[in-house]
Amino acid sequence: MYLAIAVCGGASAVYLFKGTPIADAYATAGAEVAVVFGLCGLVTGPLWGRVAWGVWWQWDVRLTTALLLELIFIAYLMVRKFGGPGAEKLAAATALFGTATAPFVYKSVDIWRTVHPNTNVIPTLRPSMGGPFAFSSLAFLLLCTLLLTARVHLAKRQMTVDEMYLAYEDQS
Amino acid sequence: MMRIPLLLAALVLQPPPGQSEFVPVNELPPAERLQAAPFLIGAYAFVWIAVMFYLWTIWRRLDRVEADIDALARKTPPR
Repeated sequence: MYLAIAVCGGASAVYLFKGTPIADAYATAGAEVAVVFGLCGLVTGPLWGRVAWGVWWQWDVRLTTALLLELIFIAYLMVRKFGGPGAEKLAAATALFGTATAPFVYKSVDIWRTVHPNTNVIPTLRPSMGGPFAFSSLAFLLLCTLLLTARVHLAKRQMTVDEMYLAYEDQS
Repeated sequence: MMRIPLLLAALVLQPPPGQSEFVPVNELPPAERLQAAPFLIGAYAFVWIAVMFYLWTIWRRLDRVEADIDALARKTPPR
């Protein structure tokens, strides 16, 4: 999720300040993938919470900020879909806010008192747990890259359609 | 003297401290253990379904875009 958010934020900054269309394609891809991974986290997290804490959901700082982050990127996609002409720039600004929020979501468990495990749990994992954790992290990074690549390809083809349509309009 | 019960209540109402190290499930008391398998299978199933559904939506949108490209290429006379 953080990788997709970084792609979306970086590309949105480039699009906002330079207006490069390909950057907008990367930003859209990043936002969609971030929403998919965010949803996976928000659904599978409570499953872990039920086992670890005995409850499905806690209004804990990590869970609450993760939910808000997910809502920001859903807002990005909705602005793009229903915002009308020029909504891309407004969406890019929304993405910058979302990207700025992401580090706080990650570090929230270290900054505020919370029931969620801190980020310093990871180095204390035993090899029997640390190995699968590292493998899973790598697998999810690859999956994220694959989804981003597929979505960017779609965005590039959509740009081709737009260019062809404009050329057709000019001719007729 | 009036403050002591308030202070005690505040101490009792504090949330539990954040976990700062990994605790294997087999080191927990039996009363705190839940069968993890249904949750694990549920989590894997959800992630697979979500990712496959998202890939399917990309594939469907790509199909539609390719059809548009073909239609526009047919309409546009060659230069």
